[in-house]
Amino acid sequence: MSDERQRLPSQREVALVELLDRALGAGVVIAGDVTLTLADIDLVDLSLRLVVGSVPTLRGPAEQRAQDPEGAS
Amino acid sequence: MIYAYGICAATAPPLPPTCRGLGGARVGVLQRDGLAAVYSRHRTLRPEPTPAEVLAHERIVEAVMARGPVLPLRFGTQLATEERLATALEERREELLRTLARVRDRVELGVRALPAVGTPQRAGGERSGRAYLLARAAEQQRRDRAVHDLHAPLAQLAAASVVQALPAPPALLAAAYLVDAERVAAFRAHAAALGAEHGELHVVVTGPWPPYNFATEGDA
Repeated sequence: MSDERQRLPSQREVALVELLDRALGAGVVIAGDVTLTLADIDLVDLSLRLVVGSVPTLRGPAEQRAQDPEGAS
Repeated sequence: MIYAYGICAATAPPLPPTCRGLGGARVGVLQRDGLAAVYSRHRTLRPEPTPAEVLAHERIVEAVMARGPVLPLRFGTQLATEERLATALEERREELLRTLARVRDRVELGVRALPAVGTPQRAGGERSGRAYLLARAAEQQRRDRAVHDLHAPLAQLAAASVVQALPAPPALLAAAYLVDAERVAAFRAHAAALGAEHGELHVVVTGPWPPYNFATEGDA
């Protein structure tokens, strides 16, 4: 069950990226005097760093399982 | 200064008084013509997109969602006065009511698929132009395949769906689905089965989320 234990944090990290994607990039925008304090580029950067940061954890269990990485493509 | 979290029906049960928003602020409700907006008052506020502050926003939206349909506002929504907020509700009343009806008894689920094994990422090393273009094409092919293998069947279980055209790498698919609350378990089971079937993908389902991606009529 070590797979299970390693996957849980990565699931949380993915969830954080998913939350940031939503709260910062979707949702109703009330036009007019809304103050969006954030530049889009910051959001992309933030989201990217979080996803990339979570990769080793995400790939860990899978790599242990995989006997035959798809080298063909 | 007003910070607004989300919009719900005026008939929604009130939030518990212990609910606290950004900066620990008390949360209030403003009603107008059958609609209600959940907000907090601040002397000064400069919301920053940190996980903690975004979570504070999300907690309020989720508290509203637990009591009925909600249309989440984008993080960072500030207005000068309550009256401005009321005007915003009035101006878009019909659209907001229609969208609230659409998300009623439904939730948003997120699906993100990442390469499961150490398939070549966009490496930083030297590459010829030709190798670069081939790698780009291969990446687009993998994204297309993920849409075909995962998104297409999952979209059939949803009332609506949206796919990000260019998911943040290394994700091959990032999509959102508006799913009937009673079909969430079936959706998750199907996603897990598809993930098992396509071993090259690591499939993560998140949610239920407030319907951020289905909160305006322009959304799919």
